Amino acid sequence: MSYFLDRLMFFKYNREDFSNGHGVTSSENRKWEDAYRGRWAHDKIVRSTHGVNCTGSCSWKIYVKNGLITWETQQTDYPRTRPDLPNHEPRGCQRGASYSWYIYSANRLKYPMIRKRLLKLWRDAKAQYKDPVHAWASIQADEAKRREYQKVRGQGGFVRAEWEEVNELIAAANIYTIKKHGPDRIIGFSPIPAMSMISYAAGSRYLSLLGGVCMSFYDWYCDLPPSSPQTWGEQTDVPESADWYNAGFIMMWGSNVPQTRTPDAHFMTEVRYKGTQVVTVTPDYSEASKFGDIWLNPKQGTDAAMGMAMGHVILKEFHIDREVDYFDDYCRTYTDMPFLVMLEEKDGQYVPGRMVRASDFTDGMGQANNPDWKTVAIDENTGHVVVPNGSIGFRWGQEGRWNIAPTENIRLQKSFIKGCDAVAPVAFPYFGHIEHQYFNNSRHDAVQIRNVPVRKLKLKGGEVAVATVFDLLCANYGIDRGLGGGNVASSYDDDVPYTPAWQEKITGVPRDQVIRVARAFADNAEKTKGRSMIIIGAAMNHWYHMDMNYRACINMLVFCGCVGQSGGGWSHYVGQEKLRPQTGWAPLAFALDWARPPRQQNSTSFFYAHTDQWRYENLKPANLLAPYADKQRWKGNLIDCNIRAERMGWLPSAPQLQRNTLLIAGEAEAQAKDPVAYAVESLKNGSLRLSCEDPDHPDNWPRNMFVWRSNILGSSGKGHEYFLKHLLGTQNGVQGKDLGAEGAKDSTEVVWHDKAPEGKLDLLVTLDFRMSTTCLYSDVVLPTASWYEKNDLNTSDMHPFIHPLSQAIAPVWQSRTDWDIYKGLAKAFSAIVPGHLGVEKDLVLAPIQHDSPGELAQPLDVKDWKRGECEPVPGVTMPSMKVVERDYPNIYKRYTSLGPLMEKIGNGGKGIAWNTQHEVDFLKKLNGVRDGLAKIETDIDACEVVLSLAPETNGEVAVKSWEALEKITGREHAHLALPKEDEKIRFRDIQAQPRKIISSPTWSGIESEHVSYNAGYTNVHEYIPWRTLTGRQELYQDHQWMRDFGESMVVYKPPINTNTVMSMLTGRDNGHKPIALNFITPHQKWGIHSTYTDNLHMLTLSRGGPIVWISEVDAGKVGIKDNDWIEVFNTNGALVARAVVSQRVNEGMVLMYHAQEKIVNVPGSEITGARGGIHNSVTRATVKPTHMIGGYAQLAYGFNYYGTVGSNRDEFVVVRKMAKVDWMDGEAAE
Amino acid sequence: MKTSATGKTLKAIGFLLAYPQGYIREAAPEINALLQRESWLSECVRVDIKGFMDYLGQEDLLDIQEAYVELFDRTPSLSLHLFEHVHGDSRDRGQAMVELDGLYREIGLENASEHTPDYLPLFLEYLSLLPVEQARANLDGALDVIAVIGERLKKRGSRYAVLFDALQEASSRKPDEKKLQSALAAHAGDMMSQAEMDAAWEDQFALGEPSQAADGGGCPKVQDILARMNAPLDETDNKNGARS
Repeated sequence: MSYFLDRLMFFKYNREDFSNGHGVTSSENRKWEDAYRGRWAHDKIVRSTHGVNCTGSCSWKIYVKNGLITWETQQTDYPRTRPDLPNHEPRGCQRGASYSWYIYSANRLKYPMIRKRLLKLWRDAKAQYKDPVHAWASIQADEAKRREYQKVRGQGGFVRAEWEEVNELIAAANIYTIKKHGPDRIIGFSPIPAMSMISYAAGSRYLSLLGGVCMSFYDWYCDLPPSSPQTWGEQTDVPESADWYNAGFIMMWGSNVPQTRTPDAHFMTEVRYKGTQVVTVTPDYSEASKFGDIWLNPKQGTDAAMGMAMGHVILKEFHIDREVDYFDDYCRTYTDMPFLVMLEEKDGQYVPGRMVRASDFTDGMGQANNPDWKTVAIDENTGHVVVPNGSIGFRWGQEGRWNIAPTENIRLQKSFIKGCDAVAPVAFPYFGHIEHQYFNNSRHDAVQIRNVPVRKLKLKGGEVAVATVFDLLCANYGIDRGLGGGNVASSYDDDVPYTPAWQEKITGVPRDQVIRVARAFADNAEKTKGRSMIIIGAAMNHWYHMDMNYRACINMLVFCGCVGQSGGGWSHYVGQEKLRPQTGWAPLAFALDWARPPRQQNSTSFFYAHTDQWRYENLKPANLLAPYADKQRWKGNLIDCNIRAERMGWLPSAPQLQRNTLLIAGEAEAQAKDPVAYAVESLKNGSLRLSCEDPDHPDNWPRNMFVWRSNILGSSGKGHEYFLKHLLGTQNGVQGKDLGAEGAKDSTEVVWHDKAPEGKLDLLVTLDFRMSTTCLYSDVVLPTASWYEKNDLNTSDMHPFIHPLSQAIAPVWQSRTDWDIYKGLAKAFSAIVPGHLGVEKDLVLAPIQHDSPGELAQPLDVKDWKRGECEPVPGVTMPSMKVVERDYPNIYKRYTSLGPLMEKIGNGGKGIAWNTQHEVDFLKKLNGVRDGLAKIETDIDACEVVLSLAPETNGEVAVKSWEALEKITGREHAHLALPKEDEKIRFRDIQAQPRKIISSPTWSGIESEHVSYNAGYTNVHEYIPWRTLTGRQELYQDHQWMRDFGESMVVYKPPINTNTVMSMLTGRDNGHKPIALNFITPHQKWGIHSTYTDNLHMLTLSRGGPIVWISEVDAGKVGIKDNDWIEVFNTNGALVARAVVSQRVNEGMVLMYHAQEKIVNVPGSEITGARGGIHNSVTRATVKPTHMIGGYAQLAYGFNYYGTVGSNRDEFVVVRKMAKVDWMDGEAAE
Repeated sequence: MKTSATGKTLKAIGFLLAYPQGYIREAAPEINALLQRESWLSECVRVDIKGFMDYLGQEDLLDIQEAYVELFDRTPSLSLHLFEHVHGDSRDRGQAMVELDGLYREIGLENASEHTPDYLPLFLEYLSLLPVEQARANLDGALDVIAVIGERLKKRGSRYAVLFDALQEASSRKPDEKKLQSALAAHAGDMMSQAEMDAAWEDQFALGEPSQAADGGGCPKVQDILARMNAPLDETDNKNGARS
């Protein structure tokens, strides 16, 4: 057959095949393909990130089509790292990738909401009173009306509202509160400014302009490790994650890196291919455990015991039996080890006292300036006492000698072991003998007498025995140095604190593993000059005696010269995220451009007092003391200690005075007195009182509270049920009784009221983009823009880049950005305030500040003016006081412009000040001018203020700030920033690409092309002192209160007994067996705190509701099977959850991920009869006196820097299977 | 349906579904007249709607608003945003809204409101601008979702169920009974028994029941996900329910 006629000769079909028939072209209508083509088309891509409380700061591409967000992907255009170092990207995790839903989710807050009962009262009042302030006053004056809406908080009942109406109501409430009670009764809680710093600043700027109070978060979350300020005078500074790749030995100690630091975990896994050893320390078999070459699992809460045993090995093998030169040099130069401590004679023994000061010598060692604050050591070459540069006395009042560079021809003597004057028996406190039902103790004496080599010095008061810190430390660790005497070990197998054998009984970890790890850790540090690193997790910090856990680890690092060295050091990545452009941000955030000082309050003490958790406190300070401490000094309760600290100016205090702070200046003027002098006199004669002395008196209640960027009631609020009962006055699950008559009897400072207040707050306002638990309990809920709907700045401690949040689409529905919400409030406030408040004089009390000359307050001992031990002197023995002018009618104008103080006073931070005129002039040109001031109308304007003023984002300012520091240290530092002097990062720049910040003296590391960021780097390499008493790393805490509580050096302290389960184990039978277990709350996999946990993706990956992990053994004991509904309760309250019965968990403990909210799948509790609580329903904050110390060098107060912390892991709970699961879908009962 | 019908009836229903405010109450006579004039809906349903408007008019407005918020703002399974029921938290939702918005643009409409394109009252207004037959056909496309919301409202005894009955009547077909039942099974709108709750929460074996794994039982999680795609109506409830 021929094909000839079938072939076309002159034409061809437009349909033709190709690729051997696999493809064919055709001309049929292909419009259907548009759907596919269009599917991935977009109008624009916008860079943003998730402003959630994690340290990711991950770059994401947001795709927008027709004004709608269609999807997001990870950005991959980070600046490259240097050769031989992996890059940072791609960054992101499963949680962030599930974010899009929040934009359009059914749970999205779309409109301002208000409690119906309140709105009704408000509208009725408004109908009666034309003036909104009078309308609000009429509601507050009527207790029945007030209670009417308070008691249904948390039980639904919202209606939508108009912005105008709620703004007016909030402004009226604020004005009424300021007028009636004082501005310090308006408080605001917002955490982690770094995650969206302009949004934070919006609220804090509004509050600060009013004279309201900004609340701390880092200490309240218990993420603040007080050991860091104690040791370094530094809030927290850490290596960036890339520096893990420089480490030779990594311990992941209580830190679940793959789970909670997901985008950075690769640096840890990658460095293992270079041969770096990884040791994981976790009580449970966590996700991090499998990355360890060795996994150690000490019983939860006993880490300090293991850490001390490792310290014992390191000291013995690397400092005593064989002295490693590098370690020795490091310790002499960079630590307080050579400095002298007085030994106080008591009953024939010696007790370590305070450090010797220049002023102890008859000639003051020739130091005219601050001799009380200059510590001394002995020069090994001459045997003479010297006053080394760099101690805190050199920081203030003189120039050029605040540095720690070794002085030529002087070698500080670390030990008196060779050539001591005597060997003295010194008493060391021991706490490991304390019995606890669920933790093993050892039977050693509470006082451990150990021999220490001493020198005798002639001081003003006569001859005194002194020892070096190093010699005391060696004795403290129980190492036998051949000085005779007991309580020291020559073998690791001796049952003497703190040997590897001793810890075995307490922690359960075999001694040979402890020895092996300690040796490997130190051996690596010796060979690499400090490249051993401890990545430490909040798990370790959430115990009441967290400082002991942390200081045990810090000491290991310091002994081995790891701090401040590339690839080494202390890596605590929890809860502050490093607000890199801090000094540019602070003026905006706290309105320092208009008035100084701002009111800032430490939240732990505040909530302890004002949610009345103190009324249930059964832990007594006297029971925490070192055995030789004077018990007479420590009568009373923990809150009494806090009150003493507040009136001595150590801790902040809010509300401040039991009288309106706006009235004081007027009263003084009427008597022709200076307002401050008048206040001091009135406090002294008792006609004026501090609010803290009577937190339950209605005059002292906080009245208005703002919560934004936070879910305090669904996540971070320890003692959740106490919040509900006392602060909010609504349905709650508190089971225990308060102290009652005993409370009245034992208190030394606080006023006891038999009836506790319920419902202190007049108004709770929350800003959020989803209906969180906190929103449910609020009176007014304002819908805020989410992270793709606003312009903001974001930084992290994990990488050196500054990143934007960008407005990809306008805020959806009626939501507004935080900046615009507070701007709107400021406008409403200014509109209705005339006639009520004008320009007022506000007496502001502030605690004695760290990094200010005031930190040299009481050098030698503690004196309380109220007890007549000294005169009340503001800023020295009591809070500093200042009259600040408030211009209430101009709040809006002040909010939207950069105030004159930046030009008048300048800018600065951490004790360094510089002139910032040039930057202010620049901002006037960039943002425009109104009334001679630079405008801050929009969120982008606000970003530019931060970026222009901060040394980290403006090279010119960086150089200025280094030069300012040079004057104080007397050394050259500007070289660290000079190459970047002309670099000025603007908001559009970081939208184009994340930008690396510029080195600044605000931080202790440097940004460089040659080394990764590492904390303490400039202390070690530039000889800039740590901001401590000696200017060195402080392993010896010599403050009186530290000594009284036996924490001048690290010791092991077992968990405290919270006394919350015994009374709950019986009498509430439901037919199932109860068991008491330790309750711990680690960070989770399916959410960042409570965010993301309520979206379907994360719910599907987890079990879709609240879960509690329990060991197979414990579950077996009480008949709990996997997935059973169980109840977890104690005297604090109750929660319900599903049981996850798992081999992962060790016996004796349950684990509930933080933070699972009440809003998803939570049935009713058999114990409380109300809907089951959250993880914090069974916790209660317990404060620690050593965290209240202030006015003392590194222990002086700083906002989010030092103060009481909200620990929670010592808590025990009763766990049992539920008999009846009630979803409580009926009407909410009142 | 009589020939005098225009899409206005649908617009009126959407109007009543919006957040209850004073002006909505005031429109009652006008709406009654319109429904009467168009007579798209049966007498019976019209009476029901009149009853509903009486309720809107008589009760305290704040109470009505509180009830509305509890239903439509606080309960995802009753959301008036259609794609909540189809795409839930999936990222397909954004694209679906873009496409729906495209439909509006095709007839020259631009969404000038603060609402997303899948907001039911907005969708109904769009339908009201189409020729009646076209409107009915397009309404049919959303009928299954509408029926499910309506059933859930009925179980709660909400008066708003009336408006969903009306929409069902206005459409040209019956809802897909299978989809309806599966959606209701996932979240009927009323309380679940403990056993049902247990079943809904039961953890599954990662690789099939051990006994079945031998014959290649596969991964039930994946099958779940596929099944969910085939029957998309049931996915937004239960596990995503705001329960407080």
